[in-house]
Amino acid sequence: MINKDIVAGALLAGAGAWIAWEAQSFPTLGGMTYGPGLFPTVAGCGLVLCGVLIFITGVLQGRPDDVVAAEEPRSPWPLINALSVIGCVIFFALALDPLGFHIAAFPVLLFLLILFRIKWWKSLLLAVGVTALVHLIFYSFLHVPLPWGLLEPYAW
Amino acid sequence: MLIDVLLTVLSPSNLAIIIAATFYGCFVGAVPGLTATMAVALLVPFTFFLDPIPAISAIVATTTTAIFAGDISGTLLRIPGTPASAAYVDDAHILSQSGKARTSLFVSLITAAVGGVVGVIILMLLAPQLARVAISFSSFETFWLACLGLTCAIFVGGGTVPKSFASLCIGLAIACVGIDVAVGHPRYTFGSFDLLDGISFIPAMIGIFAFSEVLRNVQILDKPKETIIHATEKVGAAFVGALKAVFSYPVTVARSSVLGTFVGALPGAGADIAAWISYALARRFSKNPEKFGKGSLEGVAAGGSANNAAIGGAWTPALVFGIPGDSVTAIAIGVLLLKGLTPGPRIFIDQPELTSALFGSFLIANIIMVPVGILAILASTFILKVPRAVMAPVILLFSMVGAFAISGTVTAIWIVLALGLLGYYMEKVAIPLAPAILGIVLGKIIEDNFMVSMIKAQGDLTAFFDRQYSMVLGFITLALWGLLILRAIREVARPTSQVKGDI
Repeated sequence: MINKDIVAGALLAGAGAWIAWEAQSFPTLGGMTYGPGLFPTVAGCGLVLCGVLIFITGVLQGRPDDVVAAEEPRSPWPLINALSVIGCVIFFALALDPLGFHIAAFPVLLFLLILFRIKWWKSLLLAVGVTALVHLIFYSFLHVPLPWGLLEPYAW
Repeated sequence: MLIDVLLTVLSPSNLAIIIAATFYGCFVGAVPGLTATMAVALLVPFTFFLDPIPAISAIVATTTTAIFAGDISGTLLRIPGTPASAAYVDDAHILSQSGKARTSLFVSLITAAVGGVVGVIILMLLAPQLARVAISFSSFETFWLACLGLTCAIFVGGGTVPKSFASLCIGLAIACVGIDVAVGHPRYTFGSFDLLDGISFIPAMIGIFAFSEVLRNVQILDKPKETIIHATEKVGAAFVGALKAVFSYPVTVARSSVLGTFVGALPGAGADIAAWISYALARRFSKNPEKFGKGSLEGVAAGGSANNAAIGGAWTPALVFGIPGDSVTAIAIGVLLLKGLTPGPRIFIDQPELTSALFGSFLIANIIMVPVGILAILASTFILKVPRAVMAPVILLFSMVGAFAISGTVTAIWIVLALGLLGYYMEKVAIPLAPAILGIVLGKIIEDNFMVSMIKAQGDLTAFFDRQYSMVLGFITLALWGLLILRAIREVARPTSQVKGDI
């Protein structure tokens, strides 16, 4: 397993280089010494410098400390759970406007609860309950315009 | 004037909000893995729809109780409910193993209230005085102050210098997104209309503190359940015992409260660092230092008062200079800005009712915390039994809808996702979060004031050292930078001696 500092350092330096490079294309008005490119350039160069330093410390450190942990048999569930959560956010963001809040929120809750091994009937109750609760708090009480989407004809 | 403030703070609706926030803070603080900052980040969408005074009251009350309630899971499970309880978690847990769970928790509660009140009193005395000095500050001084705040965050954030500095640059880069102040050129918006205004702060905080926490929590669902220690002590006897214990360490509590306030006031150092330092100092000055780490009530008292005092301390730079003392005040500044109030010395002149109301709410929150805390201590076993598997999806939905509620666009949800992943990854590779948060908040302030100053001075950089205050602040900043560079060289040269155990 590769030391995580090496990866982090490389990522930071890469991102910094891109930020600084992009900043060079920002226009500076005539007569002004400093333009919109200055701060991104500073931040980008700072990131490159730190990235390189973190990379070097990573190389000098050599093998990671968590070698022992890596040798234990690993369960795939933590990764599956985390990826599912990320997937759910993507689904929710894409579905919110076209399908509406209720149709987006309910399956996300139900899916995650069942995935986390809550009994199916409890999951169903919770998913319905929490969706209704969020609707009540945000839509009815705080007057947030939660989109109705497909349920538009039934909106109240 | 004073009566007006009292009427606002003590109005039934404001009191109801404080009480509700106290219960909420108690619950979130007590559940392991949910931090005080997360409690506040999730609360913000609600405060958004309140007037400034109740909004601030709610934030203050939530933080105060959440920091105390972190001790509940620390004592009964040996898992600090919030990072602020980590310093004395061993003491508290050993005490509960020997059947003194409630005594220890009551000591936490009483010292938390004492520390909180001391913190507010210092804030009340100090902030207006500082504001009187700060009122004469121009864009030059504001620039240096913000730089000083950022430098301080790197200094005390825990973590190596390159990593802390990287965190700061990440924050500054995030602050650069959107239309720039000088000529109005869009930067890093990827053609998105919603990003022209920059990355909205509240969704960013929800992502960094709530979404990343959900990601962490769902990965440890399979872990075997920790055994909860059932408290069997008589409540009355425990409370009397706790009172006696607190009164036998008056010096420790007083010292920790004052020290905690000042540590909290440093940008980047919050309740957790305050607790660590006060705990270490209490051990050095204690008559029985050998008991520390093995169930010392004095240690619990020291840490318990320091972390709550730090909350008040963190508001000092936030109110006077607009520079947050910790991540919670960073969020609070974001809330004030959303409401069209700019924290800074002028707030003491323009909105005196707001600052007085803040102080009042602080005091009341600390008083209400005691009865609510007692209830929470009695109900602690039930609070700790709420399964993560249920909490995680619910928090996830509240994060997404909360972010959406603030800006009314789906872009907010994408920000939650992106910054949540970023925050999660940063924690994973031990890059501290505090400098990044300060960078996001202060990046715009620094750039604005730099540009304004340069337009005034026509591009002459030496103007930053022309005025009296600005020269002093500038030299302090540069001196700290020198120290940081020295520290960085040492760290890179000897990578094995990295700071370990910075929790």
